[in-house]
Amino acid sequence: MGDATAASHAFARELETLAQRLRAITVAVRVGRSGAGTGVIWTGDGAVVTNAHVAARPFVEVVLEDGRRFTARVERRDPRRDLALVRIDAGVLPAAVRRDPATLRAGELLVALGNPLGVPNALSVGIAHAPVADGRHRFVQADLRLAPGNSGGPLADARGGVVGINSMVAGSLALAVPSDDVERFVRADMRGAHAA
Amino acid sequence: MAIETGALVALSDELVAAVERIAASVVAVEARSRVGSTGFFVQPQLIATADHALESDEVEVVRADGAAERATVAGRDPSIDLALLRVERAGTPVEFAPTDALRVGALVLAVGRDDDGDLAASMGVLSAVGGPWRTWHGGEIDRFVRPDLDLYARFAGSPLVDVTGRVLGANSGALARRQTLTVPGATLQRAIAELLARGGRTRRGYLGVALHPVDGGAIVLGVAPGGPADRAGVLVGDVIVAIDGERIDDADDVYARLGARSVGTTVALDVRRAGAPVRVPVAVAERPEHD
Repeated sequence: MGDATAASHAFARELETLAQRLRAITVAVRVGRSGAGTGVIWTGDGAVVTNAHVAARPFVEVVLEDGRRFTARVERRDPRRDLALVRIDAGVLPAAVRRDPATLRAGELLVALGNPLGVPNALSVGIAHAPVADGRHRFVQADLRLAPGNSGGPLADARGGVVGINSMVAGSLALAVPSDDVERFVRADMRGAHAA
Repeated sequence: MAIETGALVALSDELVAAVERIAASVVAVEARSRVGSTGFFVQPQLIATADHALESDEVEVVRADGAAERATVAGRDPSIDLALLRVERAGTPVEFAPTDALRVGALVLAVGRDDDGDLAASMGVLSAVGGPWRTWHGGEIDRFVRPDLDLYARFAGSPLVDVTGRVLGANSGALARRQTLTVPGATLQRAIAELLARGGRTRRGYLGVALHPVDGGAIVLGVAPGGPADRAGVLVGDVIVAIDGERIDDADDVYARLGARSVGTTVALDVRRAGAPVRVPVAVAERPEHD
Protein backbone atom coordinates (compact mmCIF):
# COMPACT_ATOMS: atom_id res chain seq x y z
CA MET A 1 0.00 0.00 0.00
CA GLY A 2 1.00 3.61 0.26
CA ASP A 3 2.50 5.62 -2.54
CA ALA A 4 3.16 2.68 -4.84
CA THR A 5 -0.56 2.29 -5.53
CA ALA A 6 -1.70 5.87 -4.96
CA ALA A 7 -2.41 6.48 -8.63
CA SER A 8 -4.53 3.38 -9.11
CA HIS A 9 -6.45 4.09 -5.89
CA ALA A 10 -7.16 7.62 -7.07
CA PHE A 11 -8.16 6.21 -10.45
CA ALA A 12 -10.65 3.77 -8.91
CA ARG A 13 -12.02 6.33 -6.43
CA GLU A 14 -12.58 8.92 -9.11
CA LEU A 15 -14.12 6.45 -11.54
CA GLU A 16 -16.61 5.69 -8.78
CA THR A 17 -17.28 9.43 -8.36
CA LEU A 18 -17.75 9.76 -12.10
CA ALA A 19 -20.03 6.72 -12.25
CA GLN A 20 -22.09 8.12 -9.37
CA ARG A 21 -22.47 11.43 -11.14
CA LEU A 22 -23.55 9.70 -14.35
CA ARG A 23 -25.94 7.35 -12.54
CA ALA A 24 -27.91 10.40 -11.39
CA ILE A 25 -28.60 11.42 -14.99
CA THR A 26 -29.01 7.90 -16.39
CA VAL A 27 -32.32 6.03 -16.51
CA ALA A 28 -33.39 2.55 -17.51
CA VAL A 29 -35.87 2.51 -20.39
CA ARG A 30 -38.14 -0.51 -20.52
CA VAL A 31 -40.42 -1.46 -23.34
CA GLY A 32 -42.85 -4.31 -22.87
CA ARG A 33 -41.53 -7.23 -20.91
CA SER A 34 -38.25 -7.91 -22.61
CA GLY A 35 -36.86 -4.77 -24.18
CA ALA A 36 -34.52 -2.70 -22.08
CA GLY A 37 -32.18 0.11 -22.86
CA THR A 38 -30.78 3.23 -21.31
CA GLY A 39 -31.68 6.91 -21.38
CA VAL A 40 -30.21 10.25 -20.31
CA ILE A 41 -31.98 13.04 -18.43
CA TRP A 42 -31.25 15.87 -20.82
CA THR A 43 -33.00 18.74 -19.04
CA GLY A 44 -33.87 19.23 -15.37
CA ASP A 45 -37.58 19.49 -16.19
CA GLY A 46 -37.76 15.87 -17.31
CA ALA A 47 -36.78 15.62 -20.97
CA VAL A 48 -35.24 12.14 -21.33
CA VAL A 49 -33.34 11.13 -24.45
CA THR A 50 -32.84 7.57 -25.61
CA ASN A 51 -32.37 5.78 -28.92
CA ALA A 52 -35.28 5.50 -31.34
CA HIS A 53 -34.55 1.78 -31.56
CA VAL A 54 -34.97 1.50 -27.78
CA ALA A 55 -38.22 3.52 -27.58
CA ALA A 56 -39.81 1.44 -30.29
CA ARG A 57 -43.37 1.67 -28.91
CA PRO A 58 -45.71 4.60 -28.15
CA PHE A 59 -45.21 4.21 -24.39
CA VAL A 60 -42.12 3.24 -22.39
CA GLU A 61 -41.31 2.83 -18.73
CA VAL A 62 -38.59 5.09 -17.35
CA VAL A 63 -36.84 4.01 -14.13
CA LEU A 64 -34.84 6.62 -12.24
CA GLU A 65 -31.78 5.97 -10.10
CA ASP A 66 -33.89 6.40 -6.94
CA GLY A 67 -36.23 3.65 -8.10
CA ARG A 68 -39.14 5.85 -9.16
CA ARG A 69 -40.92 4.54 -12.24
CA PHE A 70 -42.82 6.52 -14.84
CA THR A 71 -44.85 5.36 -17.76
CA ALA A 72 -44.29 7.98 -20.41
CA ARG A 73 -45.44 8.65 -23.92
CA VAL A 74 -42.69 8.87 -26.54
CA GLU A 75 -43.01 12.48 -27.59
CA ARG A 76 -40.81 12.37 -30.65
CA ARG A 77 -38.69 9.94 -32.60
CA ASP A 78 -36.06 10.39 -35.30
CA PRO A 79 -35.22 6.90 -36.55
CA ARG A 80 -32.60 8.22 -38.97
CA ARG A 81 -30.66 9.83 -36.15
CA ASP A 82 -31.71 7.03 -33.79
CA LEU A 83 -33.02 9.45 -31.17
CA ALA A 84 -36.25 9.51 -29.17
CA LEU A 85 -37.56 12.04 -26.66
CA VAL A 86 -39.61 11.05 -23.63
CA ARG A 87 -40.93 13.51 -21.05
CA ILE A 88 -41.51 12.60 -17.42
CA ASP A 89 -42.98 14.73 -14.65
CA ALA A 90 -40.68 14.00 -11.72
CA GLY A 91 -39.99 17.45 -10.31
CA VAL A 92 -36.53 18.94 -10.67
CA LEU A 93 -33.97 16.37 -11.82
CA PRO A 94 -30.20 16.44 -12.23
CA ALA A 95 -29.48 16.84 -15.95
CA ALA A 96 -26.62 16.01 -18.29
CA VAL A 97 -23.83 18.56 -18.56
CA ARG A 98 -22.97 18.69 -22.25
CA ARG A 99 -19.51 18.73 -23.74
CA ASP A 100 -18.97 19.74 -27.36
CA PRO A 101 -17.69 16.55 -29.06
CA ALA A 102 -15.89 18.63 -31.69
CA THR A 103 -13.29 19.41 -29.02
CA LEU A 104 -12.52 15.73 -28.33
CA ARG A 105 -8.95 14.63 -29.00
CA ALA A 106 -7.90 11.07 -29.83
CA GLY A 107 -6.77 9.38 -26.63
CA GLU A 108 -9.08 11.23 -24.23
CA LEU A 109 -10.52 9.05 -21.50
CA LEU A 110 -14.22 8.30 -22.01
CA VAL A 111 -16.74 6.35 -19.97
CA ALA A 112 -20.14 4.90 -20.76
CA LEU A 113 -22.90 4.03 -18.34
CA GLY A 114 -25.84 1.82 -19.15
CA ASN A 115 -27.60 -1.48 -18.72
CA PRO A 116 -25.63 -3.82 -21.00
CA LEU A 117 -27.31 -7.20 -21.23
CA GLY A 118 -29.58 -6.18 -18.37
CA VAL A 119 -26.78 -5.40 -15.91
CA PRO A 120 -27.91 -2.18 -14.22
CA ASN A 121 -25.65 0.87 -14.22
CA ALA A 122 -22.60 -0.87 -15.64
CA LEU A 123 -19.55 1.28 -16.30
CA SER A 124 -17.31 0.92 -19.36
CA VAL A 125 -13.99 2.74 -19.78
CA GLY A 126 -12.18 3.55 -23.00
CA ILE A 127 -10.80 6.44 -25.01
CA ALA A 128 -11.81 8.75 -27.84
CA HIS A 129 -10.83 6.83 -30.97
CA ALA A 130 -10.87 9.50 -33.66
CA PRO A 131 -12.49 12.84 -34.47
CA VAL A 132 -16.28 12.95 -34.94
CA ALA A 133 -17.03 10.95 -38.09
CA ASP A 134 -18.62 13.08 -40.79
CA GLY A 135 -20.24 10.50 -43.00
CA ARG A 136 -23.94 10.32 -43.81
CA HIS A 137 -24.46 10.61 -40.08
CA ARG A 138 -22.13 12.15 -37.55
CA PHE A 139 -20.87 9.91 -34.76
CA VAL A 140 -18.55 10.19 -31.82
CA GLN A 141 -16.16 7.24 -32.14
CA ALA A 142 -14.94 5.59 -28.95
CA ASP A 143 -12.56 2.71 -28.37
CA LEU A 144 -14.80 1.31 -25.65
CA ARG A 145 -16.76 -1.92 -25.17
CA LEU A 146 -20.54 -1.66 -25.36
CA ALA A 147 -23.22 -4.33 -25.41
CA PRO A 148 -26.95 -4.39 -26.20
CA GLY A 149 -28.69 -2.47 -23.42
CA ASN A 150 -26.05 0.29 -23.47
CA SER A 151 -28.12 1.88 -26.22
CA GLY A 152 -29.38 5.33 -25.30
CA GLY A 153 -26.91 5.78 -22.44
CA PRO A 154 -24.36 8.54 -21.90
CA LEU A 155 -20.83 8.66 -23.29
CA ALA A 156 -18.94 11.11 -21.09
CA ASP A 157 -15.47 12.55 -20.57
CA ALA A 158 -13.32 12.43 -17.42
CA ARG A 159 -15.21 15.40 -15.92
CA GLY A 160 -18.63 13.89 -16.57
CA GLY A 161 -19.35 16.06 -19.61
CA VAL A 162 -21.67 14.14 -21.94
CA VAL A 163 -20.30 14.02 -25.49
CA GLY A 164 -22.94 11.73 -26.95
CA ILE A 165 -25.70 9.15 -26.66
CA ASN A 166 -24.46 5.61 -27.29
CA SER A 167 -26.20 4.21 -30.30
CA MET A 168 -24.28 1.56 -32.22
CA VAL A 169 -21.41 -0.85 -32.09
CA ALA A 170 -19.24 -1.19 -35.20
CA GLY A 171 -16.88 -4.08 -34.60
CA SER A 172 -15.25 -3.09 -31.36
CA LEU A 173 -15.93 0.60 -31.87
CA ALA A 174 -18.66 2.40 -29.92
CA LEU A 175 -20.59 4.97 -31.95
CA ALA A 176 -22.54 7.71 -30.19
CA VAL A 177 -24.84 10.44 -31.51
CA PRO A 178 -22.95 13.68 -30.81
CA SER A 179 -24.40 15.78 -27.98
CA ASP A 180 -24.83 18.84 -30.23
CA ASP A 181 -27.08 16.78 -32.52
CA VAL A 182 -28.98 15.55 -29.46
CA GLU A 183 -29.39 19.11 -28.25
CA ARG A 184 -30.80 20.19 -31.62
CA PHE A 185 -33.17 17.22 -31.57
CA VAL A 186 -34.43 18.04 -28.07
CA ARG A 187 -34.82 21.76 -28.81
CA ALA A 188 -36.53 21.30 -32.16
CA ASP A 189 -40.24 22.02 -32.32
CA MET A 190 -42.56 19.32 -33.52
CA ARG A 191 -42.56 20.47 -37.13
CA GLY A 192 -40.44 18.30 -39.38
CA ALA A 193 -39.85 15.72 -36.71
CA HIS A 194 -41.37 12.29 -36.75
CA ALA A 195 -44.28 12.19 -34.36
CA ALA A 196 -44.55 8.91 -32.52
CA MET B 1 -22.08 20.44 -10.83
CA ALA B 2 -18.33 20.06 -10.63
CA ILE B 3 -16.89 16.73 -9.56
CA GLU B 4 -13.49 15.83 -8.18
CA THR B 5 -11.84 13.75 -10.86
CA GLY B 6 -8.42 15.39 -11.09
CA ALA B 7 -6.56 12.09 -11.45
CA LEU B 8 -8.81 10.94 -14.29
CA VAL B 9 -8.42 14.26 -16.05
CA ALA B 10 -4.65 14.08 -15.60
CA LEU B 11 -4.57 10.54 -17.02
CA SER B 12 -6.79 11.62 -19.90
CA ASP B 13 -4.44 14.53 -20.65
CA GLU B 14 -1.43 12.19 -20.52
CA LEU B 15 -3.02 9.81 -23.02
CA VAL B 16 -3.83 12.68 -25.37
CA ALA B 17 -0.28 14.00 -25.01
CA ALA B 18 1.12 10.55 -25.85
CA VAL B 19 -1.02 10.38 -28.99
CA GLU B 20 -0.08 13.93 -29.96
CA ARG B 21 3.60 13.28 -29.36
CA ILE B 22 3.65 10.39 -31.82
CA ALA B 23 1.24 12.07 -34.24
CA ALA B 24 3.87 13.87 -36.33
CA SER B 25 5.56 10.53 -37.04
CA VAL B 26 2.45 8.57 -38.06
CA VAL B 27 1.25 8.29 -41.67
CA ALA B 28 -1.53 6.48 -43.50
CA VAL B 29 -0.24 4.00 -46.09
CA GLU B 30 -2.15 3.25 -49.28
CA ALA B 31 -0.89 0.44 -51.51
CA ARG B 32 -3.95 -0.86 -53.33
CA SER B 33 -4.97 -3.17 -50.52
CA ARG B 34 -8.63 -3.35 -49.54
CA VAL B 35 -8.02 -1.31 -46.43
CA GLY B 36 -5.00 0.88 -46.00
CA SER B 37 -2.50 0.56 -43.19
CA THR B 38 -0.39 2.76 -40.96
CA GLY B 39 3.32 3.52 -40.88
CA PHE B 40 5.70 5.63 -38.83
CA PHE B 41 8.96 7.46 -39.47
CA VAL B 42 12.01 5.61 -38.18
CA GLN B 43 14.44 7.96 -39.94
CA PRO B 44 13.79 11.40 -41.47
CA GLN B 45 12.93 9.92 -44.89
CA LEU B 46 12.21 6.34 -43.91
CA ILE B 47 8.87 4.88 -42.80
CA ALA B 48 8.27 1.45 -41.25
CA THR B 49 4.96 -0.23 -42.07
CA ALA B 50 3.29 -3.64 -42.28
CA ASP B 51 4.57 -5.73 -45.18
CA HIS B 52 1.41 -7.81 -45.62
CA ALA B 53 -0.69 -4.72 -46.36
CA LEU B 54 1.45 -3.70 -49.36
CA GLU B 55 -0.17 -5.15 -52.44
CA SER B 56 1.62 -2.93 -54.88
CA ASP B 57 4.94 -1.13 -55.23
CA GLU B 58 2.96 2.01 -55.96
CA VAL B 59 2.58 3.38 -52.49
CA GLU B 60 1.18 6.64 -51.23
CA VAL B 61 1.45 7.97 -47.70
CA VAL B 62 -0.77 10.59 -46.07
CA ARG B 63 0.37 12.83 -43.22
CA ALA B 64 -1.64 14.97 -40.83
CA ASP B 65 -2.42 17.59 -43.48
CA GLY B 66 -4.31 14.98 -45.53
CA ALA B 67 -2.07 15.42 -48.59
CA ALA B 68 -1.00 12.24 -50.38
CA GLU B 69 2.59 11.81 -51.52
CA ARG B 70 4.46 9.08 -53.38
CA ALA B 71 6.66 6.67 -51.49
CA THR B 72 9.03 4.00 -52.80
CA VAL B 73 9.53 0.60 -51.23
CA ALA B 74 13.03 0.61 -49.70
CA GLY B 75 12.98 -2.88 -48.26
CA ARG B 76 10.77 -5.76 -47.24
CA ASP B 77 11.09 -8.43 -44.59
CA PRO B 78 7.88 -10.47 -44.76
CA SER B 79 9.17 -12.82 -42.05
CA ILE B 80 8.50 -10.15 -39.41
CA ASP B 81 5.82 -8.27 -41.41
CA LEU B 82 8.06 -5.24 -41.94
CA ALA B 83 8.33 -3.01 -45.00
CA LEU B 84 10.33 0.19 -45.36
CA LEU B 85 9.12 3.13 -47.41
CA ARG B 86 11.20 6.08 -48.55
CA VAL B 87 9.77 9.57 -49.02
CA GLU B 88 11.38 12.82 -50.17
CA ARG B 89 9.91 15.20 -47.63
CA ALA B 90 11.44 14.54 -44.21
CA GLY B 91 9.27 13.57 -41.26
CA THR B 92 9.83 13.27 -37.53
CA PRO B 93 11.36 9.92 -36.51
CA VAL B 94 9.84 8.23 -33.47
CA GLU B 95 11.69 7.68 -30.24
CA PHE B 96 11.95 4.01 -29.32
CA ALA B 97 11.35 2.99 -25.71
CA PRO B 98 14.03 0.91 -24.00
CA THR B 99 13.33 -2.83 -23.85
CA ASP B 100 12.66 -2.70 -20.10
CA ALA B 101 9.53 -0.65 -20.85
CA LEU B 102 7.92 -3.91 -21.97
CA ARG B 103 6.14 -4.86 -18.76
CA VAL B 104 2.91 -6.80 -18.46
CA GLY B 105 0.15 -4.49 -17.28
CA ALA B 106 1.64 -1.29 -18.68
CA LEU B 107 -0.89 1.05 -20.32
CA VAL B 108 -0.32 1.19 -24.07
CA LEU B 109 -1.87 2.91 -27.09
CA ALA B 110 -1.97 1.99 -30.75
CA VAL B 111 -2.08 5.00 -33.05
CA GLY B 112 -3.23 4.86 -36.66
CA ARG B 113 -4.07 7.37 -39.36
CA ASP B 114 -6.72 7.22 -42.06
CA ASP B 115 -6.50 8.44 -45.65
CA ASP B 116 -8.12 11.77 -44.71
CA GLY B 117 -5.18 12.35 -42.40
CA ASP B 118 -7.24 11.86 -39.23
CA LEU B 119 -5.57 10.18 -36.25
CA ALA B 120 -7.16 7.23 -34.48
CA ALA B 121 -6.20 5.53 -31.25
CA SER B 122 -6.99 2.48 -29.19
CA MET B 123 -5.96 1.79 -25.62
CA GLY B 124 -5.14 -1.33 -23.68
CA VAL B 125 -2.43 -2.94 -21.61
CA LEU B 126 0.52 -5.17 -22.35
CA SER B 127 -1.04 -8.57 -21.95
CA ALA B 128 1.96 -10.86 -22.31
CA VAL B 129 5.69 -10.34 -22.66
CA GLY B 130 8.01 -13.27 -23.27
CA GLY B 131 11.36 -14.29 -24.64
CA PRO B 132 12.60 -14.66 -28.22
CA TRP B 133 10.36 -16.44 -30.70
CA ARG B 134 10.29 -17.33 -34.38
CA THR B 135 7.41 -16.38 -36.67
CA TRP B 136 5.82 -18.93 -38.99
CA HIS B 137 7.92 -17.45 -41.81
CA GLY B 138 11.16 -17.79 -39.92
CA GLY B 139 11.40 -14.24 -38.61
CA GLU B 140 13.47 -13.97 -35.46
CA ILE B 141 11.83 -11.71 -32.90
CA ASP B 142 13.62 -10.65 -29.72
CA ARG B 143 10.63 -10.59 -27.39
CA PHE B 144 7.12 -12.00 -27.54
CA VAL B 145 4.84 -8.98 -27.10
CA ARG B 146 1.06 -9.28 -27.01
CA PRO B 147 -0.99 -6.16 -26.36
CA ASP B 148 -4.58 -6.45 -25.15
CA LEU B 149 -6.20 -3.87 -27.38
CA ASP B 150 -8.29 -3.63 -30.52
CA LEU B 151 -6.36 -3.43 -33.76
CA TYR B 152 -8.84 -1.58 -35.97
CA ALA B 153 -8.94 -1.63 -39.75
CA ARG B 154 -5.96 0.42 -40.98
CA PHE B 155 -4.01 -0.25 -37.76
CA ALA B 156 -1.68 -2.81 -39.39
CA GLY B 157 1.81 -1.38 -38.97
CA SER B 158 0.67 1.12 -36.35
CA PRO B 159 3.10 1.98 -33.57
CA LEU B 160 2.41 0.64 -30.09
CA VAL B 161 3.35 3.46 -27.74
CA ASP B 162 3.71 3.85 -24.00
CA VAL B 163 2.05 6.65 -22.03
CA THR B 164 4.90 9.00 -22.90
CA GLY B 165 4.54 8.43 -26.65
CA ARG B 166 7.69 6.33 -27.03
CA VAL B 167 7.41 3.42 -29.46
CA LEU B 168 7.41 -0.10 -28.02
CA GLY B 169 7.01 -1.77 -31.40
CA ALA B 170 4.92 -2.20 -34.53
CA ASN B 171 1.52 -3.91 -34.39
CA SER B 172 0.61 -6.77 -36.69
CA GLY B 173 -2.39 -8.98 -37.07
CA ALA B 174 -0.53 -11.14 -39.57
CA LEU B 175 2.02 -12.84 -37.32
CA ALA B 176 -0.47 -15.12 -35.57
CA ARG B 177 -3.96 -16.32 -36.16
CA ARG B 178 -6.67 -14.25 -34.49
CA GLN B 179 -4.44 -12.15 -32.30
CA THR B 180 -2.50 -8.97 -32.39
CA LEU B 181 1.21 -9.21 -31.74
CA THR B 182 3.79 -6.47 -31.64
CA VAL B 183 7.24 -6.63 -33.20
CA PRO B 184 9.37 -4.97 -30.52
CA GLY B 185 11.51 -1.92 -31.21
CA ALA B 186 14.80 -3.79 -30.80
CA THR B 187 13.81 -6.26 -33.54
CA LEU B 188 12.61 -3.46 -35.81
CA GLN B 189 15.80 -1.48 -35.40
CA ARG B 190 17.99 -4.52 -36.11
CA ALA B 191 15.89 -5.56 -39.12
CA ILE B 192 15.88 -2.02 -40.51
CA ALA B 193 19.67 -1.81 -40.27
CA GLU B 194 20.03 -5.21 -41.96
CA LEU B 195 17.60 -4.33 -44.73
CA LEU B 196 19.34 -1.04 -45.47
CA ALA B 197 22.77 -2.70 -45.43
CA ARG B 198 21.58 -5.29 -47.92
CA GLY B 199 19.80 -3.00 -50.35
CA GLY B 200 16.34 -3.81 -49.07
CA ARG B 201 16.53 -7.58 -49.13
CA THR B 202 16.40 -9.87 -46.16
CA ARG B 203 18.86 -12.63 -45.56
CA ARG B 204 17.13 -16.01 -45.52
CA GLY B 205 18.36 -19.55 -45.10
CA TYR B 206 18.11 -21.91 -48.08
CA LEU B 207 17.96 -25.69 -48.37
CA GLY B 208 17.04 -25.97 -52.04
CA VAL B 209 13.99 -28.19 -51.67
CA ALA B 210 10.39 -27.96 -52.83
CA LEU B 211 8.07 -29.20 -50.11
CA HIS B 212 4.49 -30.27 -49.70
CA PRO B 213 2.79 -31.00 -46.37
CA VAL B 214 1.92 -34.63 -45.69
CA ASP B 215 0.74 -36.46 -42.64
CA GLY B 216 3.53 -36.15 -40.06
CA GLY B 217 5.88 -33.88 -41.98
CA ALA B 218 6.74 -32.33 -45.33
CA ILE B 219 7.56 -34.38 -48.40
CA VAL B 220 10.38 -33.35 -50.73
CA LEU B 221 8.90 -32.88 -54.22
CA GLY B 222 11.99 -31.40 -55.80
CA VAL B 223 15.68 -30.84 -55.07
CA ALA B 224 17.57 -27.91 -56.62
CA PRO B 225 20.59 -29.38 -58.47
CA GLY B 226 23.81 -28.44 -56.68
CA GLY B 227 21.91 -26.84 -53.81
CA PRO B 228 22.56 -27.53 -50.11
CA ALA B 229 20.03 -30.40 -49.87
CA ASP B 230 21.30 -31.96 -53.09
CA ARG B 231 24.91 -31.82 -51.88
CA ALA B 232 23.87 -33.39 -48.57
CA GLY B 233 22.10 -36.27 -50.30
CA VAL B 234 18.43 -35.39 -49.71
CA LEU B 235 16.24 -37.30 -52.19
CA VAL B 236 12.90 -36.59 -53.81
CA GLY B 237 10.32 -38.53 -51.81
CA ASP B 238 12.05 -38.04 -48.44
CA VAL B 239 9.61 -36.91 -45.76
CA ILE B 240 11.16 -34.35 -43.39
CA VAL B 241 9.80 -35.16 -39.92
CA ALA B 242 12.13 -33.07 -37.73
CA ILE B 243 14.87 -30.46 -37.90
CA ASP B 244 17.42 -30.40 -35.08
CA GLY B 245 15.09 -32.63 -33.11
CA GLU B 246 12.07 -30.30 -33.46
CA ARG B 247 9.02 -31.86 -35.05
CA ILE B 248 7.89 -30.66 -38.46
CA ASP B 249 4.16 -30.61 -39.17
CA ASP B 250 4.13 -28.84 -42.51
CA ALA B 251 6.28 -26.90 -44.96
CA ASP B 252 5.88 -23.65 -42.97
CA ASP B 253 7.63 -25.30 -40.03
CA VAL B 254 10.63 -25.90 -42.28
CA TYR B 255 10.68 -22.31 -43.57
CA ALA B 256 10.34 -21.12 -39.98
CA ARG B 257 13.71 -22.77 -39.25
CA LEU B 258 15.41 -20.81 -42.03
CA GLY B 259 15.68 -17.31 -40.58
CA ALA B 260 18.62 -14.98 -41.15
CA ARG B 261 20.69 -16.60 -38.42
CA SER B 262 20.39 -20.07 -39.94
CA VAL B 263 22.65 -19.09 -42.85
CA GLY B 264 26.03 -20.83 -42.50
CA THR B 265 24.85 -23.27 -39.82
CA THR B 266 24.38 -27.00 -40.27
CA VAL B 267 20.98 -28.45 -39.43
CA ALA B 268 20.11 -32.10 -38.87
CA LEU B 269 17.19 -33.20 -41.03
CA ASP B 270 15.38 -36.26 -39.74
CA VAL B 271 13.72 -37.79 -42.79
CA ARG B 272 11.64 -40.87 -43.44
CA ARG B 273 13.05 -42.57 -46.52
CA ALA B 274 11.09 -45.55 -47.83
CA GLY B 275 9.74 -45.97 -44.31
CA ALA B 276 13.12 -45.94 -42.58
CA PRO B 277 14.45 -43.05 -40.43
CA VAL B 278 17.56 -41.33 -41.78
CA ARG B 279 19.40 -38.33 -40.39
CA VAL B 280 20.91 -35.96 -43.00
CA PRO B 281 23.09 -33.01 -41.94
CA VAL B 282 22.62 -30.06 -44.34
CA ALA B 283 24.75 -26.89 -44.49
CA VAL B 284 22.21 -24.03 -44.80
CA ALA B 285 23.12 -21.56 -47.56
CA GLU B 286 21.78 -18.10 -48.23
CA ARG B 287 18.68 -17.95 -50.37
CA PRO B 288 19.60 -16.76 -53.88
CA GLU B 289 18.14 -13.55 -55.36
CA HIS B 290 15.26 -15.09 -57.29
CA ASP B 291 13.89 -17.96 -55.29
